Amino acid sequence: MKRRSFIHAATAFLILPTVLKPSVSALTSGLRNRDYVFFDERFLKARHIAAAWADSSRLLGVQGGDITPLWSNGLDRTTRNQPLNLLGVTTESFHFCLRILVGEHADFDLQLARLDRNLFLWTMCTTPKATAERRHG
Amino acid sequence: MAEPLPRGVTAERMADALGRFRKIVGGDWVFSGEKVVSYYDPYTIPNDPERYKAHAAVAPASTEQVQGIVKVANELRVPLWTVSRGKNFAYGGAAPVVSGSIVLDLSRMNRIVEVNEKFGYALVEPGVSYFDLYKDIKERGLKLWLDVPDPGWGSIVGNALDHGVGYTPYGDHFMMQCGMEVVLANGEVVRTGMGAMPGNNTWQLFKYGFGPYVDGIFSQSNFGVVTKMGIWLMPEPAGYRPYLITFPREEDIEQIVEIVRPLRLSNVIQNAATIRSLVLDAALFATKSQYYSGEGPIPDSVAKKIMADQEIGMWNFCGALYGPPPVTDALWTAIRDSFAAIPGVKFYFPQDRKRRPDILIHRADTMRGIPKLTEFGFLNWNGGGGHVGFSPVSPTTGKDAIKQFRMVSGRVREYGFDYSGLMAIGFRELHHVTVIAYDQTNPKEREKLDRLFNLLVREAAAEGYGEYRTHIHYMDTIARTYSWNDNALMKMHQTLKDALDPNGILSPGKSGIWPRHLREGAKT
Repeated sequence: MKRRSFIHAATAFLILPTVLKPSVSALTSGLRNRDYVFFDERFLKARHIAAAWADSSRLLGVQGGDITPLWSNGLDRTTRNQPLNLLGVTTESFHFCLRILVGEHADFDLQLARLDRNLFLWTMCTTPKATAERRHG
Repeated sequence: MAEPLPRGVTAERMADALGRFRKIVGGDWVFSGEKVVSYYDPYTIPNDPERYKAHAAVAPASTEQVQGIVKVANELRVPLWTVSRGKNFAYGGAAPVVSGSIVLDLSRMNRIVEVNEKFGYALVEPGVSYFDLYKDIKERGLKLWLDVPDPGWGSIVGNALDHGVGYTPYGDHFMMQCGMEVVLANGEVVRTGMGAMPGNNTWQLFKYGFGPYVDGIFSQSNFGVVTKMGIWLMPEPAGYRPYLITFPREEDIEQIVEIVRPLRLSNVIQNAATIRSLVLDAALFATKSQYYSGEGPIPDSVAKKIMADQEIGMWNFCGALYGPPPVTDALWTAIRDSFAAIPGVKFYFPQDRKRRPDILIHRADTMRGIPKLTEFGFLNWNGGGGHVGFSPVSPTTGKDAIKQFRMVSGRVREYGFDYSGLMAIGFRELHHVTVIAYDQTNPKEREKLDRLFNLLVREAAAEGYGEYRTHIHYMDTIARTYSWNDNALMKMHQTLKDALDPNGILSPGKSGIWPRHLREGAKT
């Protein structure tokens, strides 16, 4: 019988949109390698920003703003297993869902800036929580 | 950061409670300080930052630990706010009604105790999400389908207790629950229905047992802490055929619902299908500014552009057929022929939809019980992320549907928002759920939303329409509308509250039910 790792979100969490508004340059300056860069394929600005990171990161296009396929196809497992440096140029729903989902497995630091009406630029550094066994009766 | 204290609880008493909770669950599972932020409502409505703030949280791993916690809370008169997984984000998330409460976070209790393929049920703890159970069923290769609400990360127990709905023939989640284990405020553990009989093996098969059926009093309530629940699961059908029917005019809703009623009552429409508005469907995969840069709701010309682009209608009926092909063929013929009477109607199966992403392709997953998060796309429509659901219930009649639509959409648009709603079809009722998306970062917009919501509740109540579920900010408001015979129902709730939880430690204010010492307006 196994126990799943306990769910508890990290500290920098739900109130970020209203309390943390670093500038775009502050978010991107000093950053080198990113494990993944997420960009919303629908928006030219997102594609351009993501392209600048193509050499050092794995680019992942977000279709229709939906996190479900990316999370289900590996990101879930990856966030449980290793620290990650993530960057995104996405809409609200993507980073909202991501921080709720990541918070179940990892502590994280999220920095967020609004680019325009649709898009947010964000960085997230995650550290997996200690895993416990999942109980299964 | 200073966390609030509930009225009448000193800092010393709270510290004593937290210390004793640590002894019960371990120091790692009592959260205070910065860790409490995760229990805030991400889409809080009032601009007062002190509203709905927890003091701390405690996360037990077992029923025995829950018993220990409520005993301490009772002794020290410290209020607890119970959440299963705290993912009810359109309705307050994990945030308590009473600031200073300690969140009783059951997400660590995540055992899937049993999945029974032969009889089609699962027995789960409150921390089990739809994602969890779906994965478990898939990994074990069981021929069972879940019924899921739109967000897959929610608790199966929590959603059923909050009267949530899904979209398969098992869409009424509380109807499909069978047998509970409940910790009462005094620490006693009760099993309901057949679970009350030692050695009985039908706890998850027969709901009623012997004597009064009490499971209902633990839904949307604060009379106990549900620590296990049975949920019926649908046997995998011999065939599955999702479909989409689109309608070009807003006023079509009257005729649509008149057609739906007899089909649903006779189970020709088998599932909890939905009639979804243009903006709700468009917002899943597009943002408003991609179509319209003006202020206020989108004009008709833009609506028509969206319809053409996305091959959707002003109303979109998403349903599915379940069973062997000869059965579904016959059902489809009846459905198609019934709706064909509406001018401009269009019928689609998945193979007819070429655009990606697409509403039918997405809903086809949901209507077969695949948990997802796709519906959160509507957060992006206005860009600011806030959303709240206004959810009155009406009879399944065209007259009521068009009346509700006009009442709600008129006010929503008057206040500058787009109408984004759906009518979820129960057996005899419509849940008219309007999602109002607003800019969470704009205090004036939040004030405007609050004025609008209160107006909607008053106007709906004046016409006899009541909400089935609401955000923590409106629980008192909604409860007051259920006032027949001098508030007789609320008086009965209060009698139960006083009997089962005389010290009022369990979720004070939930669904407008307050313990004796906090009644009559002295609530914060």
